[in-house]
Amino acid sequence: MDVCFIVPPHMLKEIARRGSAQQKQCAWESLTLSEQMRGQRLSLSVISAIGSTATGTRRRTIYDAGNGYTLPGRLVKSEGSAKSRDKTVNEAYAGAGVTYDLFKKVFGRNSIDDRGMRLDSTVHYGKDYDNAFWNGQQMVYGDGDGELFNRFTIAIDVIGHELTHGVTQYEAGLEYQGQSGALNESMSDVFGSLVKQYRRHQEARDADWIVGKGLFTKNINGRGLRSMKEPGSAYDDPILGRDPQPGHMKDYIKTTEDNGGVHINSGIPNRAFYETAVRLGGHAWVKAGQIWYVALRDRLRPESDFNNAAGLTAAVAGELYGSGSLEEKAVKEGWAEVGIGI
Amino acid sequence: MKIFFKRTGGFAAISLSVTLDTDELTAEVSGRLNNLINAVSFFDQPDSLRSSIPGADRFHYEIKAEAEGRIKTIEIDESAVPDIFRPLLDHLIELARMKKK
Repeated sequence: MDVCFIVPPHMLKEIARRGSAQQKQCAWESLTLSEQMRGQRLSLSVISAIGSTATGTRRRTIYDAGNGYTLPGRLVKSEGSAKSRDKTVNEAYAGAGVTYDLFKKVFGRNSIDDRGMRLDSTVHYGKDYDNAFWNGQQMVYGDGDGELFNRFTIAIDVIGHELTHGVTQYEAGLEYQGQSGALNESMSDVFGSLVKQYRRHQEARDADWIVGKGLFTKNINGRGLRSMKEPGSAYDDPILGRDPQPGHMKDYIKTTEDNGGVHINSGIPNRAFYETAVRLGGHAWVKAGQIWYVALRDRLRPESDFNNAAGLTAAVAGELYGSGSLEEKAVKEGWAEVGIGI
Repeated sequence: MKIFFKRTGGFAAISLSVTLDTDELTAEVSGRLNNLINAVSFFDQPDSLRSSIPGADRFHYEIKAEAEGRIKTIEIDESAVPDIFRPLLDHLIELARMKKK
């Protein structure tokens, strides 16, 4: 891409308004990129000062965007520093810690990249911002609008969800479109849910399998954003409508929105995981989680679809626990419940 | 001027949209909207501002405006939103939320 960093932003804005078609396009690309890079330059300078060697220990850093849109924002907490007076900061810090612990202690993974990557999070992003996201480098959380959504750090599975997007980026690299995108989303829901269960020491049968519980304000009629147990049943509200997630292939939704419905059709693999976990019993992270993690780390590829995921998780179960084992059978039955035969 | 705005995607994947006709709005709201559209030279911009930066759970915006015989739709990935578009997007989101209440 031809970009012109040497041109100051105010001039680029003028070119974007008044230049030729080609000049406008170039100016827009430069403006967009420079705005993305502005925050990253600050971030990189901090990283180089702190060092980025693999340590095998938790290294969490929390920034405050001050309700603006520049990342990463102002540094407000680092590993081991005193508790903040801001509960959002403490939630982001604690949630990243539990997520790190699950991946480290249960799956033997050293952070997002398995090389001790620092876990950067930004809170108070944007104006009444009702979202959380992974930007390719860090987690970002909005405060919600207060009318429909609470702050996004309120639910620890949201934090586990976003961090898992980082793991997926470094491993399977599932393309964020169509079925591979829905698998990407499902992996984040699966490990986000496991983070919540791990913190609560819950067994599969005792978990609520709700993603984002507490995110809705009391104005909304809903238990959370998604149900892994019964996709499509998480909320039914006059303002927001009804949870659109399918829980079976016969109800798969074809759409161009949301990158081909990545947050909608994820209900299908989500339920396959739930069905597998409850069949295996006990703590879901021990067997079902291990099978899904190995598939994510070693088997799934960027263009993998639901059928691939079903076959690969069953194969991993066979390798880990034996061909014809109860674990392999549970995985096959889990996928069969959502209409995917192996 | 007629404006259609839609936001899709995000962690919650609950879309937000609004259709506006400045002739039917108060002078204050209409004036502010016109100013924000003019501030970004809306009708002179590219149809699409996309990003190939990796990430997940980002929003996607669609803004369509119709005025004096001109029709223009711009699609914007959240990670490609230039600063000068922020006030317009924030205001459209605010108007869409008011409609939803």
